[in-house]
Amino acid sequence: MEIKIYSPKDFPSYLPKLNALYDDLFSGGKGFRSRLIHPFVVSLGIPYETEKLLGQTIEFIHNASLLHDDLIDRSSLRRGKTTAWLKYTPEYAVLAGDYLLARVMVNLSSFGNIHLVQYTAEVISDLLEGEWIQDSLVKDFQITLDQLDRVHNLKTASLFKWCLRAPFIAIQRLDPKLHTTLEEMGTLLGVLFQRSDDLLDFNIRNYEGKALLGDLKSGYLNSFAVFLMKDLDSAKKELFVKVDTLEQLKSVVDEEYFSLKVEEFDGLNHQLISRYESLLTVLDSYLEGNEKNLVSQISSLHELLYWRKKG
Amino acid sequence: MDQQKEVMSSYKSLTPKDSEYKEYMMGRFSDTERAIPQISLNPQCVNEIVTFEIRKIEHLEPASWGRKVWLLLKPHTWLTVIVPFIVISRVDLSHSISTNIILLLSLISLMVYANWQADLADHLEGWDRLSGGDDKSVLQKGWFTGQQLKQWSQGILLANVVIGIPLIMNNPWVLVPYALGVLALLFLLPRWWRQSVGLGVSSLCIFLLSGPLLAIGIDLAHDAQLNKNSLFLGIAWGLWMSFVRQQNVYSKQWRPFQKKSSYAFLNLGFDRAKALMRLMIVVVPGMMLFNFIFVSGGAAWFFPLLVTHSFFIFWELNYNEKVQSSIGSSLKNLHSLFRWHFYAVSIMMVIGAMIWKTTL
Repeated sequence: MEIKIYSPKDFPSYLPKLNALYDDLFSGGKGFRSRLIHPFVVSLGIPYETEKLLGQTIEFIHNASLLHDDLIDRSSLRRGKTTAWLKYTPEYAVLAGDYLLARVMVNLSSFGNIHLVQYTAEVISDLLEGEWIQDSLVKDFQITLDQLDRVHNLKTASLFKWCLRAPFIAIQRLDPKLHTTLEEMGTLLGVLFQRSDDLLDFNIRNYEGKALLGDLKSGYLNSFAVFLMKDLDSAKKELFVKVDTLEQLKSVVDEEYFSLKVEEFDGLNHQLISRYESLLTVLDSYLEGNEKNLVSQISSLHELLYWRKKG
Repeated sequence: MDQQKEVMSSYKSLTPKDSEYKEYMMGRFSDTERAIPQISLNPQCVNEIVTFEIRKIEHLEPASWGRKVWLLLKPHTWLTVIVPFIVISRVDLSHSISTNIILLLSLISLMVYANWQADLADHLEGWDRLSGGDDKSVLQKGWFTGQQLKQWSQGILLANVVIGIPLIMNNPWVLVPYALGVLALLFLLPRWWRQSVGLGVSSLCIFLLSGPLLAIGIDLAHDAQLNKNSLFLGIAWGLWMSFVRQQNVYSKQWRPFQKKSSYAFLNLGFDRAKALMRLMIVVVPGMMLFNFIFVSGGAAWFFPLLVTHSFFIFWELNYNEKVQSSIGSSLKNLHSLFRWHFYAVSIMMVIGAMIWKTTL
């Protein structure tokens, strides 16, 4: 059964523009993170209402961050539509994001699982820390990949970790070793996803036709940009950060160098994929009976997240 | 690629609470393999997980023995003791080559011991996984194990004691600053202790170890009378080394909120720490220079250091103002400048010692 993330019945109707804003926001999304929870729900026998709660929680948190992100970045488009802060007002965009986070806390506390509440609060905290630090890195053109990883671990990976751990927490499966493994797996998936997203900016595996060089034009070096720039001399670095189009960028670094770097970057991430695959075996050892189906269900997640292959 | 996959395919994830954690960190789990801790993706967090890549010894990152030994011994850190040794030995007018050699070996061996203990502590507690980049330790590279480092540091401490015997026999009073220094080192190294008392104690220990205690020890080893010149030179150097320590903490030790910092400096918060650093960049060199007023012939150091400090203070203030993020490149650049400042001051201290007599 498809989870309905947003319903106007879940939000006050007397707040002007609120439901219109959320309708715009949720109708465009793929709900990927909530769908990531589904294999866990099936394998662990989690009831529909709990699945809905988990799905809504993660999508509310994710979309709250998008609302705020778009305002911070002054983005004009999100999922092909005018961003909320532009279409409505910046004030409504901020409040709408805050309200989603508040609803998360209301819903979770009604559910009554204190561990889930605590963990979710930590994840929201991590997400916001990551956003804050990322904002402090705008126009920093000497950032390194490991520094960016710290940001991505907080900002992106935290939500993936939540998707893997929350279903187990929801059914009170709190084995520390299990959660250690899930935490590590979620971290790897999050970093892989972020790095793949960063490649889209350079038209690598950009099957959805996302706008190019958005990060660079905003003065932010994403992970692939950092990787590309690492071996350039200072003159080329200066030109690199000022490019407007991908053609200009390739004239600065040349096509051969660019292709080589894509290959190297993929190779680097292949190591993370290897780590993820080895952790699947560890995860299997913590599962019993039908739960073990989970491993085969999530074994190709990296194909989806990094290589962008359709599931 | 297949060979690479075979080499790199084995991983093990552990948390610091797991019973096997220490076996893997110390390298005791196997004679033919090494567990290379990967850069933690969540270092110093409440839920830190360390993933080890298990590699056969023959598949470790290749390097020349020279490079391995350099990273193991870290000779560039020996300046901490070599500079005051040169300066104070010169001021003592000691011409005993044998005493100088023994003293120098003793100081260097103690420095190496301190480095190894610090590396081991960083490795076990994960501080070296906090910063990635190119400055990985020998333990992070798997060239040597924690167990080896532990054994060698015990050996070098013993060697240090043996080396020091002639000095003690020459002048038993050398034992006093030596014993106090070892005590300070014992207080300094265990992080659990420093965490409970804050940065003030470790700064004080560094000041004493590298400053007045060292100066007094060198005086006594030369069988010279304690004199104010050595003492004030020692105080100047101790202040400087304590500040160098603060610089390292400021430029390298920020971490996620969930793991509270043990450093009082960082617990001030980013903005206040930046403001305090702005003040210290000016004040500490000033305090250092002040000591040379009390040294006979102190002009030999005062004026060269005044020029050196002024040059670097200007740029450090400039770079510090540009620091906008706790993990950005601006802090790295500042750290780099701090290092050059340290080397420049070290050179000026030695040059000052060489020209000292002429200014009396």
